[in-house]
Amino acid sequence: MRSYLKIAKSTLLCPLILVSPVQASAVTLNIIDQHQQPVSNAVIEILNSAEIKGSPTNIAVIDQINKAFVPEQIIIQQGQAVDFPNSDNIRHHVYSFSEAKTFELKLYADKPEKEIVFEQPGVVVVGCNIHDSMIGYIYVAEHQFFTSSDLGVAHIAASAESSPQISIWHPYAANGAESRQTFEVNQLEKNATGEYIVEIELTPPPPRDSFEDTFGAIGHH
Amino acid sequence: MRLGITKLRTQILLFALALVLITTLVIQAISWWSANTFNQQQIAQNIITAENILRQYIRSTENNLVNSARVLTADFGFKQAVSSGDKDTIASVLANHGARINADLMLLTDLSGNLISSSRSGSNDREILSQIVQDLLQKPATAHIVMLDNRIYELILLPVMAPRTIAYSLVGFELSQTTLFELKDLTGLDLTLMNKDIPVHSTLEGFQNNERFVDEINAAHSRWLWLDRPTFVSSEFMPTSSSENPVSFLFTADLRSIYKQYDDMAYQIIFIVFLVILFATLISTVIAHTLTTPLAKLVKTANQFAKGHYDAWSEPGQASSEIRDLASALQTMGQEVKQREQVVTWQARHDALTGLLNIHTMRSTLSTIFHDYGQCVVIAMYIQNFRQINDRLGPEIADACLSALANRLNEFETEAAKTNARLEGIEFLSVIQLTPDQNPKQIVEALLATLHQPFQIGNISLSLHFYAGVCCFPEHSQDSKVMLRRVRIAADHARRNRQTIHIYEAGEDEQHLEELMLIESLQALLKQPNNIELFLNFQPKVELHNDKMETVEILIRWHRPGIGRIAPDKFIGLAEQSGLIVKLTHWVINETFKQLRIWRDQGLLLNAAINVSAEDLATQIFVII
Repeated sequence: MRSYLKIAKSTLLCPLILVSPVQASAVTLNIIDQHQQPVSNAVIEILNSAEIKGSPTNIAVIDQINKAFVPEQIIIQQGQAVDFPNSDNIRHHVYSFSEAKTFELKLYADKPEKEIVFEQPGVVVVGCNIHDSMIGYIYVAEHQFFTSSDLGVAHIAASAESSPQISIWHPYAANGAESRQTFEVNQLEKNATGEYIVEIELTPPPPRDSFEDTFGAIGHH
Repeated sequence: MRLGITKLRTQILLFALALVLITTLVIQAISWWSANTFNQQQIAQNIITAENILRQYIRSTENNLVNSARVLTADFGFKQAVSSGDKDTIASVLANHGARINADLMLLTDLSGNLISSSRSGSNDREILSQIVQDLLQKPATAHIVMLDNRIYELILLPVMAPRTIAYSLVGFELSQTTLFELKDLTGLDLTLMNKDIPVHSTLEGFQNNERFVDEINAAHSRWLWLDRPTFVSSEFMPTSSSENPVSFLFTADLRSIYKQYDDMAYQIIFIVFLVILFATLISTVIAHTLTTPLAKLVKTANQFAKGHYDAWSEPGQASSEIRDLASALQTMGQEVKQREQVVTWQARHDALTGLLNIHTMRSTLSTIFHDYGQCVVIAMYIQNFRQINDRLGPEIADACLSALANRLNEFETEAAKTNARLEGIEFLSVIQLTPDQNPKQIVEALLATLHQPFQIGNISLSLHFYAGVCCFPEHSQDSKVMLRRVRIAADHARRNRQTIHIYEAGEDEQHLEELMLIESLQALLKQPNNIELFLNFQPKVELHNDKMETVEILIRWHRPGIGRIAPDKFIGLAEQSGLIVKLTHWVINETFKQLRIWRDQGLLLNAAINVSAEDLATQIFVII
């Protein structure tokens, strides 16, 4: 599978993936694209799990190294803050026009004045106004249970009584970077090994029609 | 018609005209063909060039569009406005930014091609727009020529990245009538912008905005004489366009100006052809004149020659050297034929040996001579001793003798005119004009005296002796034929009577004629065995010593009905003279034998005595008998 994104595993909030051995058993999802290829870095959120209460205190970080957001994609909890330090020796102008969070960190070096708090759940696409090739994604989760796929495989907990209702997001979703799809797990087909098949339509972004860089070139960094 | 063409003059004229016509037709055809080929190549090249120019134009405006639109869509404020989702803000930013780059059309669509906002108010067809967006997405940043709201735009699509694509911005320049005229100035060809074969704009005059436009362009013809030529050459150029609603350019080259050049040239050539034909007619007429007129004169001359007029000569006048040579040759021929004819005529009229006139000439000219001379004496002469000369001295001496005699006849001097002729063999004739006081006999004697002088042939001296018959004109006859006969009769008389000169006496001719008639009759009678005119008389011969008649002498008698008895000595003499005597003797012998047989059958046995001539004795047959 093409690896469009480099995800820093360390920043993923591992403890959030909770599987209760008493009332639920694990369900495995097989996430593929329209070409039947396994998809990595898809974010799966269980919509009928408990919503996040309060504001997480830990601050997520998206660094800017060599005119790129590192990592490019993070998952945070609703209400969590993200810091955008600038490790480059040039300035950046980080912004987002996403519905979930519109903000702008005008040209700065080293560290911005303050971190950004993401109060609304959803997807925030982050760019740099002066470096068009820089794109980052922040998934702001509303619910407690969420995970991301690795080579198409994702494990989620499923209770015996109710079928998990999930939303799936991927930055290259054909319907736009901010769009999500929801599924009833029970209604999904299973493959030979008993995994639920989730097929999503992806459109790799066309090469960026920028002055210098292209979108496709990013993947080769 | 055929006769007309065979005339040299017509042939020359026709040749000249044919030459001019064929030459000009060939030149015309070749020049038309090469000009046509050249023009066609030129037009084809023009169209290619025009297409290149148009392509270049589209590319350059496309670059303009792309560059401008890139700057525009990269503008943070623009992105921010688009992200705001506020329709009025978006519309205002489109108008504002469109004005910055002089775009005629600014559209913003969502990622599905649905219109968000447009700089131009209009009932934009959403389906068409969506289709255009799909087409543009296939080739982003490439200009498409599209039809939208009845206007034609050169349109590009650029995504609005914030930072991922959130919308598409479509930026376009309108291709208006004015643009087409600018392009026409650049390409030199008429341009028509068409949407699905329906023209939208055109630089052509009288352009009609209807469906049949292309067909009409292709069907347009301009006539000239019988030629029907297409008015336009057109070529369609398909730019990158919408697949469903394509827009194309039609280049049209108007050929009428080229045709006008052709036609003017053709008229000029036709005019020149007429001039050349006129000129050729004149020249060929002159050439024909210098050729045919002299030829006609030569023909006339030749016809004159044919009639024997060898001095008839007409100068050929203005003519080529060949004609002059021909004329000169004809003239020479005429002179030579004349000379030869003179020789032949002379030979026909004269005796070859002596050069004197021959008997035929004399016969034909004697009456003229009489008419010219008036009174004259005619002398016919036989050479008495020619046979001896011929026998003894040989024919060469004899011939020389005759020539010398002719010379002497010619040299004989008379007071008036004279004419000499050799009649036959040794018979000569002289006609001497008499002056009133001259005595014919004296002249004849003077002539003979001259002729009796010895002739010197080589170293032999010979004397000739003559029998001469003389007649006088007009006394003895006024008719030349009669005169000729009479003078010869006179000469014959002189010869028979061994006279030197015998002057014709009246009646000699009649006697002569009677004798001729008797000879002819006798000849006829001898061919008839049982004629009644000839018969035998038997004169008994009695032996004196016993008074017995044992022999009869056979005598022939001739009794002509209506004339009576003809004396035996007369007709026997004539028979001897004319060579009939042998036949006559034969006849007598035959008749005698018949009579003797009759007598013997009656018991009468008699001897018969027949008179024979000396000539009979020389005959072989007689000897055998």
